[in-house]
Amino acid sequence: MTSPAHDGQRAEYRVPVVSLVLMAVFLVGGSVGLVVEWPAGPGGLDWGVWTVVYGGYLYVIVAALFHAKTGR
Amino acid sequence: MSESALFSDTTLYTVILALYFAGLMGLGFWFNRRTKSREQYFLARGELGPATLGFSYSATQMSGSSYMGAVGTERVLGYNFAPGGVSSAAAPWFTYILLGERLRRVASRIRCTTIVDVLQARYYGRAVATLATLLMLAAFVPLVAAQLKAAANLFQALLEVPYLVGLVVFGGIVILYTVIGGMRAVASTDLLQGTIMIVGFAVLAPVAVSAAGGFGEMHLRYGELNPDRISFLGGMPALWVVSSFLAWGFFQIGGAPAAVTRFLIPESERTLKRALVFSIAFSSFIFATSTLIAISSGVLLPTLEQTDMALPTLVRLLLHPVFGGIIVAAVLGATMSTIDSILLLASSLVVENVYVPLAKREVNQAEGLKLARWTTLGIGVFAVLVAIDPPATILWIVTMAFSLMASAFTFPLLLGMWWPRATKEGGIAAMLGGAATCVLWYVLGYLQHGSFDNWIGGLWPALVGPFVSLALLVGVSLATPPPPREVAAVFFEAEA
Repeated sequence: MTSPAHDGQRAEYRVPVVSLVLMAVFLVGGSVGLVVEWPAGPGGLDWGVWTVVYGGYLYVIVAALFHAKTGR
Repeated sequence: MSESALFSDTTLYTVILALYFAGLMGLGFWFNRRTKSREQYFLARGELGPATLGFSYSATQMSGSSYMGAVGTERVLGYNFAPGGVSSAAAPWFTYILLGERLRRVASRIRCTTIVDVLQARYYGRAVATLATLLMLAAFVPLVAAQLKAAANLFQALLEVPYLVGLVVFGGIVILYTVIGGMRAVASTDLLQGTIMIVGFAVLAPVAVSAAGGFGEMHLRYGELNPDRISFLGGMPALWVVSSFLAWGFFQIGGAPAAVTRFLIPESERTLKRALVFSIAFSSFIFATSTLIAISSGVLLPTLEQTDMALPTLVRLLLHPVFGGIIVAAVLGATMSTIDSILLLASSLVVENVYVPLAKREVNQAEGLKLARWTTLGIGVFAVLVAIDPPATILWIVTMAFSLMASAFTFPLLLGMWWPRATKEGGIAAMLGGAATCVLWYVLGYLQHGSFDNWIGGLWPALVGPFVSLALLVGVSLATPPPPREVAAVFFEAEA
């Protein structure tokens, strides 16, 4: 009988290409977003804070869920 | 809320903390009876579910100084500092995907107990293991001492006891708990403390924002008080803001070896992927709400002098002492999570990577377990002694230890798992060169600015060190003979 651990060990390892691209977008896009001028947005903040900070949290949660679901 | 009808706030805080820590000790003893071997004590391989694993990773990575330090520092630096929070929340995403799954597979094959075992196997020799052990121990003692000092300060402020009493009581509890419980106790309480923190911040954040006038009004008032901190730029140099965003996420791969040790535990890929979801949800929630709590504290406590006391002061100001006491207990618990994980890793390094190889004989389970517990006790007591009179800048000691480990280990770990051509000589050069560059960058920054929290051009040492390490790893590896066939077989060919 094969244990689940052994199944996991034997499963072919796929390079998570989509996640790697999403990481590059996060790092490069986030860095650029920190140094450009943003127009004023709602709640007393500019759109940069909404995009990079609060949008950033949403982005990593969705990206992690995507990886957990698809392995890509 | 200064006085309750029957008891003072201090009495209520004392009772809640006593009950909380008594419960934790009970849990430690319960797990103690089930720990039979060194591997179970250090690793609990295959015994943790996704939620425990995920919370434990994040709780170890964040630490109590993150809760108190992040709120306190962000209260002062505002949205100049917030990108570092997003990046910290993204750290599990980088580490699980780039390192976690490959490390888990290798750990299953070679049945290793510590992250240094993996480095030793990948860079085929004792030299790398010895170097890695020394670098980690050099970073761990001040890191633990800084956490202990933060906790003792909290005891002093909330329970009105002398600093030394707080240090000895808290240090004693953490050391005893780690000595008796091992990894299963540590990871299980991480889950409990993480859950309390989520509930606590879910209550505190809206209460604090509301007390500061509501979301929009709070930001307008914060912007009036701190016009250069309501956006990313204006307060700190642009390169400082960008490099903090880059450093706190990706470089946790090497900067948090106690957290990365969690990847040696699961026996299935599915457990690891589900743990990632728990980690990322936990970290994101805590850092996002920390920002709101920090901004509100900037409005509500504009003249508070002790930066790190913003969170407990806000808790005391806005919440009933019973509920506030539970949150403070969880913050102390998070400090404890970091300390116990580091103590466990430090003692495993001493036992597995120093004592066992030097003994040159089989060390049986009972002897090994006893030695592990005595080692944990010894390192813990040493850290308490250091914490009696450490340098004043706690937050920056933590940052320096993180930067040193990120510089030394990020690329040797990452390329060790992904690049078959990386050689022993390359690994040694990368660790030494990365660590030395990091130290040098701190020294140069100190010479220019007179402090350890600002650097040449604002560029963080946790960025400079790793890139020198990467260049050395690639350059030296290509200039030296390829690794032996057996290394490639264990680390790469099994994937085919």
